Formats: sequence, structure tokens, C-alpha cells
Amino acid sequence: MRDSASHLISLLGVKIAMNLRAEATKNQLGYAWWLLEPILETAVFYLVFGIFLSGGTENFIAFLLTGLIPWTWFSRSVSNSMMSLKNASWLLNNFRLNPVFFPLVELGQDAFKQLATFGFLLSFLFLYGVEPADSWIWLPGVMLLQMLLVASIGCCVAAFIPLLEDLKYLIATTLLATMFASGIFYDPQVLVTAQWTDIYYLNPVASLLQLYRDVLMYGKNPEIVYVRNVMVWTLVFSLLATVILNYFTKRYARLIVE
Amino acid sequence: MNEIAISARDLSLTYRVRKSLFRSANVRALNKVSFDVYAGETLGIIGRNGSGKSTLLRVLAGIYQCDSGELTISTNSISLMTLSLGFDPVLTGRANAVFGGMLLGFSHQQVLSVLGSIKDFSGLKDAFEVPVKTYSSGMLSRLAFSLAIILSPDIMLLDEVLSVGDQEFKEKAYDKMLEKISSTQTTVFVSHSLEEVEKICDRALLIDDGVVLASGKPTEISKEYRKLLL
Repeated sequence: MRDSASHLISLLGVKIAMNLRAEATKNQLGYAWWLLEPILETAVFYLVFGIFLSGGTENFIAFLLTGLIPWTWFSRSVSNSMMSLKNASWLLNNFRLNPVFFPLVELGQDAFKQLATFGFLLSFLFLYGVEPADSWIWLPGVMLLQMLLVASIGCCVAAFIPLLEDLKYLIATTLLATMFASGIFYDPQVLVTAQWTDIYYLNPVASLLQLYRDVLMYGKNPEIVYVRNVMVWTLVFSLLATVILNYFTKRYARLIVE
Repeated sequence: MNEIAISARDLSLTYRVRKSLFRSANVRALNKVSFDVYAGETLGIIGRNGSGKSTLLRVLAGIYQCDSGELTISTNSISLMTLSLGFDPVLTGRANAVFGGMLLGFSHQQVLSVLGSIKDFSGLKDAFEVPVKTYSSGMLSRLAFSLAIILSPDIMLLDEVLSVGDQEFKEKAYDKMLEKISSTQTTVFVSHSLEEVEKICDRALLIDDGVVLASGKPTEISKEYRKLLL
């Protein structure tokens, strides 16, 4: 029973719900922050890029948000799950728990909060004048694709950190580099020269953001090349995470105290 | 003689404490530890601080893997009971009891079905419904002990759990422990209180520096331990 997948899923459900409730009760405005946070971020970007710098690209704020909101989900989830195993020393040393539980709790919490954020994104796009298109039905599919990518990378970094904590600096730098190399603030289809396009989109986040923009802004169905790029990386990171987590399952508790 | 619930043969475990990238120090916690625990009995483990008692319980609970040796356990229902079951200070006693019970390996439904008994035994009354950050250390211990004693697995591994709450609750907890132990419950019990070990346990094990020095009747093992302390 205790080592079964169903017990792990049930434990995850209870812990994620408890953490979300705990997080909300810490603040006076509680759950409202899930919506207020993206609204405030948007307001800042609107002020800087929409008014002071007046964009440069048509529909720049909509363009920016369709890149920024998925990116924020990605970077927060990877950062939050990175130290999840390392910080679970007490629980790992007192209970027999599958180590994948710890990054999955972080990833589950972040994914749940994204539902409110994406609801805001769709409302903003509509109010901003972006007409809802048939391609919007692909949004849950693209979000699922992102969830799988984020889960595979999140579990992978969480698995490696207890083995070599110094990696956290490398991961932070990689996240920063990925932010600039994913086309959040610029349109790669305009700025990246044709000879580099294929290589550029090997970055799974760049492919993912292109999928979001195609589906939400340009009324296009997802292109297979971008889907494939995301899926290949998801598979690579999933395999790596599975191998490391399985090998060290009964060793993490000791590794962390050592 | 009952059937063997736990069979430990030559269990050894050495911590490798990392000092820098290329340097580490070895700290031997268990050195060829062998013993049996029979179904339905209560085995007491005594020893000085740092003798390897808590490491041994973690090995039995499946939390740590030994470097060598063989461990056979007759059931999957075995849990380490500690006095602070990973409580989240922001959540209520009830929510923490649910998560704590599930951490011990019980299903959500199983925990929900005994929540009333946990609340009653803890004596927390209305405090059961408020965040545990408002609890005193005694109240936290009451909640943790009630959870552990009501949701007991086939094999209980207890680490100093009788030092709980005020005198009234301590007596109540002690009686409940005796009731459990006199039933078919299999228990491995770590304590510094020789009096408790003599009263509660069927047999005892004396550990020092990760080595089993003696095993046998609790009164005799207590004498050996006193000699060791001199």
C-alpha cells in the first residue's frame, strides 16, 4: 500500500492542497494573490514597454504576455523544485517516502496556480483586442506539453542537487541564459537569421513559446516541429530523472545528512 | 516461540561525512549488528547517545540502506514513530493529523476513519481545529503520540515517544502503550529510561559504538548498561 503509485498520488493530492491553503492563509488577501500577481506584473510591463518604450512590435503587450506568463511558470517551477529534495532532510530521515514526491509537490502547486494566471492571460488578450480563434482549443494541449517538460526538468534538477549542490549556481545561470534565448522580449521569427532558426528552436522553451503565440495570437495550429522539440527534451530529462531517482531512492536520506 | 518478524544479520553502516570536494570522514554507526524480533514481542534498545540506536531504527524502517548485511522483515507495515510528524505550523491539528497518518503509510480513508479517535485521545478538543503554530510543545507531543498510537502499523518502531506532554497525559499515554504492547503488537522501542524498558519490554538489546554488546532480559541488560556508564 505505502509504496504504491496510488498512495503516492493520494499523498501528493493532500500535500499540494494543504500547501496551497497554507500559502493563501499566510497573506491577508489569500487566494487573490494568484490573480493579483500576474496583473501587477502585466501593469509593470505595460508601463515600461507599452507606454514608455511603445513596443516596436504590433500588439507588443499581448506578444510579451504570451511569452512571459509561460516563462514565469517554467522558471519558478524549476527553481522551486531544484532544492526540494535537499530541503526535505527531516521528512526523508523519518519516513519511507519516494523521493520524487518532493519535486512533484512543488511542480503540482505551481501548475495549479497557473490555471488562474492563464485565465487572466485569456481575458487580457480578449480585452486587448485579440480575437479568440479556433486555434485556442489547442491551449490545454500546449499547457500539458509544458507541464510535462517542466516536470521532467524539475525532477531532474531535484535529483542532482543532493549529489552536488554546486549545480544550483549552474542551473541559475542556465535559467538566465534560457530567458534571453527564448524570445520573451523579441520575436525570433523576425530577429533570428534563417541559418540559425533550426538550432535556435532546439531550445525547448523557445519552441514552447512559439507554440503559445501561434495558438493564441496568430490563429495557427501547433506546428509539429516545435512539438517534437519539446517532447524530445521532455523524454531526455524524464529518462535521466528516472535513472538517478531510482538508483538513489534509498540513498538520498543518508546522502543529505552526510 | 512466535515466528520471526524481523531478522537482522551483520548489519553495517558507515556515514561518509563530506568535508570538501575530495575529503570525507568515515563515521561507523553500525558494525555487524545481528538480532531477531519475534512477532508480538517488545524489544527494547538501550545505549548511550551516538551509539547507533536511531540509525538502527531508520534501517529497520527502510529509510536507510545498510552498506552490508541482510535484513528480513515479515511485513510491509512497519513505521518509525517520532514525536513531530512533519507538522506544518500554518495548518490545523486535523489537517496535520491527516498528512502525518498518510506519511506513516495509511490511506486517506483509513486516516479519516480514525480522526475522531485521534482527537479524543489527544484531549486537544477545540484546539484540534486551529493551526498548530498556536500549540505548546506539550500539545504538539499529544497530537503526534495520539496519531502514532491510534494508527499503529504491524511493527512499531518507537524512538523516545513516552516523554510526552504533562503528567496526566504521560500516564494516559503509558497505559495505552502497555495496552498495545500486551496485545499482538510487535514493537521495537528505543529509550534512555531503564525503568520504562524494564516495565514494557520482553527483551532488550544493549548497543555501544554500533556493536551489540548484550541481549537478553531487560533487567539484566539494564545492569550491563549501568556498568557501561560507570
